[in-house]
Amino acid sequence: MRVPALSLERHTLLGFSAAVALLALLSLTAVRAARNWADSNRRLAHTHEVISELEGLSAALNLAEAARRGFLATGQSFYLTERGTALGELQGHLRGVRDLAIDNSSQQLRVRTLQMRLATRGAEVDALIAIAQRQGLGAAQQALATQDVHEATLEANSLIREMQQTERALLASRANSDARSARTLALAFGALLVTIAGILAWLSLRIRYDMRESARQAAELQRANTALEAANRELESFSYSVSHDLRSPLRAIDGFAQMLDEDYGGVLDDSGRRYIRVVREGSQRMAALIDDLLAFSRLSRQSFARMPVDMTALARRVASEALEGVAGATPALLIDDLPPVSGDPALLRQVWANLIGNALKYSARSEQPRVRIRATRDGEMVRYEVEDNGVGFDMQYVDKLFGVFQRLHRADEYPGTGVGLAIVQRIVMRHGGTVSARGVHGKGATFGFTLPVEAKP
Amino acid sequence: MNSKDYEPVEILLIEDNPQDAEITLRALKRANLGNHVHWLKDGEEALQFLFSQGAYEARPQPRPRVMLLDIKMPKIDGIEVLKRIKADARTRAIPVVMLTSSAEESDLVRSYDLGVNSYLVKPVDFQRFSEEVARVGYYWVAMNRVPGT
Repeated sequence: MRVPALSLERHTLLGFSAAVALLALLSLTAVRAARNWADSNRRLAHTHEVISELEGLSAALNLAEAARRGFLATGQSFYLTERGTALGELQGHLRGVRDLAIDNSSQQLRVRTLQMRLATRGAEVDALIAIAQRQGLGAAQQALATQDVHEATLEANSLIREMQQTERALLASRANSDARSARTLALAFGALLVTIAGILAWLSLRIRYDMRESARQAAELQRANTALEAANRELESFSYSVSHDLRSPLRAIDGFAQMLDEDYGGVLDDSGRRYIRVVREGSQRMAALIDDLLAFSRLSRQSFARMPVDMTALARRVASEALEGVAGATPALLIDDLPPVSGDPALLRQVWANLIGNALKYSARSEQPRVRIRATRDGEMVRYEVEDNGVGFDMQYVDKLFGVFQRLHRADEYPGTGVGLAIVQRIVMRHGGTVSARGVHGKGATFGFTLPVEAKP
Repeated sequence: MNSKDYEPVEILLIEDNPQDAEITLRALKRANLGNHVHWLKDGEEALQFLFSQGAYEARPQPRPRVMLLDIKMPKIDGIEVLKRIKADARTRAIPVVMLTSSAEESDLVRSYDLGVNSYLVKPVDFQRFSEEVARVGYYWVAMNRVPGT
């Protein structure tokens, strides 16, 4: 099963980005709402302060008025002290209101008007007190009668009330907007929490899904592995059967043909004896094919040693053995110094045997057969080459060379089963290398293979 | 019946395939080793013969100079026969040569674990097969010494 990993990843990435963006937006909204709420709270507190200043102002004014009345009624000087204190407070509160309402022009106007009124009124009372001190309480009371004291106080008080009303109206509207800010803030926070909870839930689901998925994949892999092992065992018993059961009838064919020849060869003519020969050649050729096929199939199953291998010595040994079987012109065989590798000596020996054997076989009909073995370092790999001046091959068939039972020559031209190069390729690939071939028809061929440079322990 | 009434057995061939058996017998005959060869067709019969059981109850226990044993046989295979022979003191000294089509490493390992004396892979080529059978027969019958001979 193929898992569409990329699209899944993109999916997750997209979801994650969206979640992050949403969180950022909600956080921003929440921060702004919190700031708004704090602002409106401050404004609310400010309005409360103004109102309390105004109350203080009103109280101080009433105290001053009461002190004035007490003095004019009794002439006792502590009333003057009291009035002084009250006036001081009055001025303080007045300043307070003025400073607090600095950004409110209509309130500023009222503050200024009140200030003027109070100053005028203060001056009038000061004059009355002076009269009382100089000419006695009676004169002061007479003078008071000419003034509309009540009116002045009322006017001041009404101004203060007016200001208080303004502030109260402001308070109401600010309380309203404060409540709105608080609601917005609660909403933004709520949305933020819900989103975070949602993302966490999604993530946990996602992780659970991933874990289940990976467990499922592991189980699937296990199943596939078991099936593969079973298939491998089956293949092994299959090749065992091939080895035993196909060879027995072949031996019977060959043996009884031979027995026929030995016992009745005399009564057969040449043609009859030729038929027997053809039967025997066929059975022997099939036996060779079965043996090679078995050797090939065993390659992928048999264990694999890894040790330093002296490739020069190995190639020389294999070459001298191969030369013993050569009939006809002795080929000129040149073997360069070859770098050692790390690998299975028996398997690498087979690579050399097949390649050198091929080179000798296919150059045997050249006038002066020449085989050259060399190696070059190519980065982390060593490249070994066996070059001959034999019959070569047409490069358009190069892909077929390393296939099992693939041959470019008829069996009666050059004997062979067509498994040798397939074995070479399989061995080289098991060592982590590659094979290659170059050839010119009638001019020779070069077969090469690469192996990883021997790892230094 | 007296034990003298039985032909002595020098070579015991245990082979289920009649063609292989015929080729083997012919090769032995050609090497002048065919006079005292006994052919048994499966493992069960071989064990009965060697331990004087079943159809061979009346017959005294034979002491062949060599046994040529095929591996792949119905009922009781060659590996099992080898195991029983080498596990029993009465038969342990009989030389056993595996003569089989199987060149499988696992069969080789198993046979040597059980104490086989020799292991031969039958070649398809009749000529070579005859030569090998003759060589093996000659060696074990004429040259090899076993206790009590």
